[in-house]
Amino acid sequence: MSYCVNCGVELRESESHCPLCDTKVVNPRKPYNENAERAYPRRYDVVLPAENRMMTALLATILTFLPALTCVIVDYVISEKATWSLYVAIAMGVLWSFVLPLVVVTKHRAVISLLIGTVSLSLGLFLIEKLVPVKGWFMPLALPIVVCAAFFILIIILAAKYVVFGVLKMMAFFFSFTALMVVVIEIVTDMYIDNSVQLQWSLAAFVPLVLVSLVLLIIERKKRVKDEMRKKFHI
Amino acid sequence: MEKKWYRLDNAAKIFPVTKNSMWSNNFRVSVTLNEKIDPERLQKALEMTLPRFPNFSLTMKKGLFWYYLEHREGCPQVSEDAANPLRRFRTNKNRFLFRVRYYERRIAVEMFHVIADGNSSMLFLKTLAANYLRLGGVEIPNTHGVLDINEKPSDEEMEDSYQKYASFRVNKPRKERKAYHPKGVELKYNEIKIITGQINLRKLSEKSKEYKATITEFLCALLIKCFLDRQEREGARKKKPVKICIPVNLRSFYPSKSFRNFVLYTNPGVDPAYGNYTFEEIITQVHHFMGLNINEKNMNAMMSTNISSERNPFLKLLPLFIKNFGMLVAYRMYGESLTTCTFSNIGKMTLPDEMMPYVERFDFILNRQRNNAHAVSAVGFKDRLNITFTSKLVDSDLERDFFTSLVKMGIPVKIESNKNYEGE
Ligand SMILES: [Zn+2]
Repeated sequence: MSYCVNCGVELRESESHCPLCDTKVVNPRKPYNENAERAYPRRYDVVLPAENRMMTALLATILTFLPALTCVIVDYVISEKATWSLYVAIAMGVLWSFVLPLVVVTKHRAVISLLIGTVSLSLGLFLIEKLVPVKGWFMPLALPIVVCAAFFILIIILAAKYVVFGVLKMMAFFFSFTALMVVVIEIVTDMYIDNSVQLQWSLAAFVPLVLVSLVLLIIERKKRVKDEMRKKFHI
Repeated sequence: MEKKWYRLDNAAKIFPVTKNSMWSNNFRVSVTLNEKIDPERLQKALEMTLPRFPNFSLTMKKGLFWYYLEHREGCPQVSEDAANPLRRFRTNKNRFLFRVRYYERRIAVEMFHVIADGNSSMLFLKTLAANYLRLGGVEIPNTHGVLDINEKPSDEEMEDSYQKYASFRVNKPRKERKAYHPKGVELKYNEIKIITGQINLRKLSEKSKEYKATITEFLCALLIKCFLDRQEREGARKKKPVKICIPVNLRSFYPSKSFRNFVLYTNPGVDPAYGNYTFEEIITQVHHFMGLNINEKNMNAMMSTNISSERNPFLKLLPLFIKNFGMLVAYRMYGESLTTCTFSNIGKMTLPDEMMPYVERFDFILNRQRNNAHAVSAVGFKDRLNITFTSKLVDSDLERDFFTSLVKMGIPVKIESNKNYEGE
């Protein structure tokens, strides 16, 4: 008979640690016996991912490609070559690459969907550049904006998921990051237009966003202000 | 030959809707003998036992409007037990909705709740164990829940007793507040944590009498206390009521012989919004709540309310997939979100005297509900009560709180679990 020194419960002979508090069993008179009959075997049953998920994936695929295919056929029948329908097909393909990881993957879904989706969105924009008469905007403009936006969204997803913030802090974080993103986007567009950076409209968004997040942080820090706010604005 | 089929009983209707790829509403009953189990002999015993229980030879199919159960031939293979029991049941491909498993000296029966409840599954387990022992040369009479395998199954044993006994005319409102649900880091999707405490039944019974409560009321109150303390530690700003879902065996009110589901629930609890409760106050609250709610009239009213929605001609005619969606929404609102955890005490097991020396213990394990973190189940045998916690949380604070409280009250507890401490 061994007892957990921390919990005072008797333990089955096969327990090397107390299951309640994970304290190792110490009993000089009766050391832990590895061969004692365990309550459960060590072997795990394999639990396979369900077939349902594959069905949903198939359904999502059909739902995105069927409209695209219909458009291409209609377009081809009317104008005898595919023109506008190719954009629909590209858009649907991009949408599909965002949705499919959400259905198929079990862990880190949002991140994986974002990464695969970003790659396919860039590819889609690249193809569109090939199709339209106006060229030369993909590399200097579209790609940087897509990558920056994806990067910022990634940071926000990771923060929301893995860092435990209070509501106020999370909102402050979100606002200040959005502010940064707006500035970066203006830098990219300015560079594309005349190769020089002159921040204008993004500052109009940046300043209020940063102010709001600062106010939120102050409220978060000052308990007195928080209480006062709650008193004045309670619902 | 035409295959026999059955409608799902009223309680079972929700189970195919709520099950998903990781989880189904299942439970298991097991018996530990005093010698190592021989799988071949167990297989033979199973083949002898199965024809007596037609509700075990069923598989689930989809109709246009409802799921239904269909008879299937054959007998499943007994399988080795695992560290993660209560694996979800899949219902496609004509599968059986139960499995028989063995490990060392233990025989376990795992069930999908659609075909039977804990009480009738115990009959199956006892009969199976008796047949297993008989194959080893032990003479056992057919008493104390061991059924005669030569007897023909009766229609009464397959009836939907809810339909038969529900007679109330008025709909009972079921508005209730949402309950507290513990937070914590979760185990991997294919894992489940099981901790069993074996408790001295005599001391537990004396302690319960001190508080003028039954054993179930006493344990339920202790569970509420532990959840209240956990909520306090979590430091939530708005405290929610802690309510425990207690299954009530309706066979104690009606002369039903059904092997299928015939249970309802009652949810005693306390609301910390009313202030801090002492343990005595919680017990009083639980005791009077149970006294007020667990009676034939109230149970019949609940049963009739549940059935009336099923009998509604408009709802009846909705195609299955729309019904499923609606039922899932209703489950979100009126299902497990109203209770913190389920506690099912199946009572003290009896056996024919001839069988007693060969049987060491019984266990009853309830799978946790779909979103609730814990489930608690108990079964008594000889001088002990085995209480089992199943959980999806990594931490065992609740279990520790519960069992150490018993120790502090002078009731000895012996702990075992399915935790693996390999490599330490
Ligand atoms: Zn311990």
